[in-house]
Amino acid sequence: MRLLEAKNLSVTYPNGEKALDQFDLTVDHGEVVLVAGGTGSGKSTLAQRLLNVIPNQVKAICEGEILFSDESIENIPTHHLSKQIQLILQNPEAMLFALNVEGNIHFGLENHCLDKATIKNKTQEVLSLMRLDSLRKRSPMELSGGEQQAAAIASVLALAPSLYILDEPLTYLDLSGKKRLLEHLKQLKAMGKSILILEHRLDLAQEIADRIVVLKDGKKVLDTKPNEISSKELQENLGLRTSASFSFGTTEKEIKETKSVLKFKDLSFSYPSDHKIETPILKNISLDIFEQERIALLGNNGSGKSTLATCAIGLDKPQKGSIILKEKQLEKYTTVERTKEIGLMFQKPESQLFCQSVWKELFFGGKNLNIAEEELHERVDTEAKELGLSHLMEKHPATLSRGEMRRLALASLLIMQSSILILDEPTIGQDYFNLDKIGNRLLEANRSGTTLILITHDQDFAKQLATRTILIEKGEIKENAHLRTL
Amino acid sequence: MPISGLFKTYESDTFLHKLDPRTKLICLMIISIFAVLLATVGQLICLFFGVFALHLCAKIPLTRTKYLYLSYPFIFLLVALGQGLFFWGSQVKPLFTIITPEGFLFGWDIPLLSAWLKIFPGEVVFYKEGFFYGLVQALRTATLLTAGLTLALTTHPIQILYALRKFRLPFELCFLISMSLRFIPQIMDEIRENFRAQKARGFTLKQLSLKDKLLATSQICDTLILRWIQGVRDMALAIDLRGFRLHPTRTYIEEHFFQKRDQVVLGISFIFLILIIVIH
Repeated sequence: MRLLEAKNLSVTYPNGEKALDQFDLTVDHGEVVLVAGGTGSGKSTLAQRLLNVIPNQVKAICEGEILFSDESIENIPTHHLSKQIQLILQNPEAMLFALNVEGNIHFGLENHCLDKATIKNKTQEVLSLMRLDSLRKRSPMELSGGEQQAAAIASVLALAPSLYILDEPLTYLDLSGKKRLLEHLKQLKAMGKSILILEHRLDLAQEIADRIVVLKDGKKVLDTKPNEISSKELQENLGLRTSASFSFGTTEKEIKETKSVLKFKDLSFSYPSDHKIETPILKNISLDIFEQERIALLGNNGSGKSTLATCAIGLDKPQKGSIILKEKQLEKYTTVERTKEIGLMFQKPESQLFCQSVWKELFFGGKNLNIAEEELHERVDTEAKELGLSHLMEKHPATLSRGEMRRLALASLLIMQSSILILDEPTIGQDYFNLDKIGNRLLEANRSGTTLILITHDQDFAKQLATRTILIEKGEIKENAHLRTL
Repeated sequence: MPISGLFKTYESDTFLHKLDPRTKLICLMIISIFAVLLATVGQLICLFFGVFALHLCAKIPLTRTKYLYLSYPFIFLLVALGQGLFFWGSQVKPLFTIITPEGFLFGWDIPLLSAWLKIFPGEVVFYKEGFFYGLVQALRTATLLTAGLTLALTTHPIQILYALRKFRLPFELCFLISMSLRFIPQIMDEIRENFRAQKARGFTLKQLSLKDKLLATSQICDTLILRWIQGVRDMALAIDLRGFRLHPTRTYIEEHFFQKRDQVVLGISFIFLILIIVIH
């Protein structure tokens, strides 16, 4: 039985950009549809159009018709549709507006006038499901990216609508979080709920999908069953992430233990707390990183990976232990000296971008390092071209897509040619084509002497690029193995 | 500690923490009335130390309160000394003269000052009445700051929100206040994160002149504003999606009831208030 039917949907933004073009979509009761598409294919526009956010709140010229349970939903305000349709936004932080995790779940249930006992039961149910029990009183700002995403998902799951729309729901989740979410979606499907997943990654969501619809430049280019198309075809022709491997080299897996360039000695870190007993984020970390290595730092959300990175570049100061950067204590470096040696791409690159245009952003680091004007121009041109940013040079960084922001942050680091690069989640928001570009560029930098440390939940990318993996759990190193021995 | 941490409620089980947020809000209002009604330095010193004693009862760690304590000398210096210099009235008596019309600074002959005063004649005098008037204002400010911060640090913003709702404020307005409470620390953390990002790319404010420091700081403003606008737009959508104002009424999961300790505290506060009004 049909739940949602969208006919000939077209959306044209005031700047003339046609984000959707004669797009048709159907979703039946109990059906899981995976709408796949690369960066800028129109996935988020589709989600907002289905909920009348476009044109009610975002101005655009809209054509076509949307039927929900055989009735037109044209002109119905979004908050009325929320009884039947729920959307999990791409940016989980925006969905967490209440003062704590529990408050965010309560908010929707209170608005829907459920009684107190039901609210409490449903809240407990989703908190347990997303493993957020211990974080229920935490402010959203104190959560890691993955924990924020889990909290945003929990607040929508509690409302139990007929149709769930999930816009890139797996982005920040660690592997166990992804598996738990997919397991729950399977349960919802069994209960007759319909699910629309918007993703550029097919490998994980593919297993629960009944149908795959592929969007390219706002047009439907494919509507098929998952087993009727090969992963390689989807990847190479449409830029979608699948389990198929990347084009960049996997052969260079030799173990290089030349000389140590970064050494953590018995490092412990905890954030200042009101209580005498502080919760340690890092516990006695001892680790040697060798020249030209490619390391993948893995671990669950909140395990301390990002904190280790901010300690490594001197932004956070450990309470115990020391960091030796190229045989010299880290704190003895000046800011410029340190930046020449080590660079960090933040987990949320939007907070790393602060200039008024892409080109100013690219020049920023190089100018601080006093790189000669001509040389700097050359590096900026090269990196912008390599990472597909050349056409965006005059744009304000805040107006870029998530994937573009991440590539810009990476390019601005590569321009500085620091000898060690720490990249926190470099693969988020990237389609196959861009990820392949990033992989190739990182390998090239590595060949010219850069040591790479990748913090990632993207195991496929890590496996293909890294020579060594380090697993961190609850602030401690649990595994430290060369890929050959893993 | 991130700056936002300073604004986070300090969780504890002291008597102050256990009071109903409405009681605390009413007490804050009564303290404000006291601060306005009491007009002598002696009375205000008593009020200040009374409020400070209450503040100490909350056992808030120094990491949270050090900025409050550091603000006291600045308040007294700026307000009391400032009023001492600039107070004006027909009956005012100079306590001492800082610069004489002849150009003497505390009795020292400064030739440059003499030359200046030949062009712009006058004197700089410190007035007793101004100093005491400033002291009164400084004591009032310090008292209210201490009381307000104690309320903020011992009461979760959600509870303040419920208290406001119980005072019959519209939910929309309460929600707006809660959003502001949610955003202020986030904005502060984002600014901090931007400075960290600049540092990570070889830039430090330390190396710049004051003018360049201001310029560098102002340059990140438009990026931050643009990002906040985008964040607020996304958040408005998320609020809409969760059925905000879907029905004329809504359920409230948390309810608060006055306890005996609240009744006692409110009783004592009102007795004091009536006494002071009667005396005045």
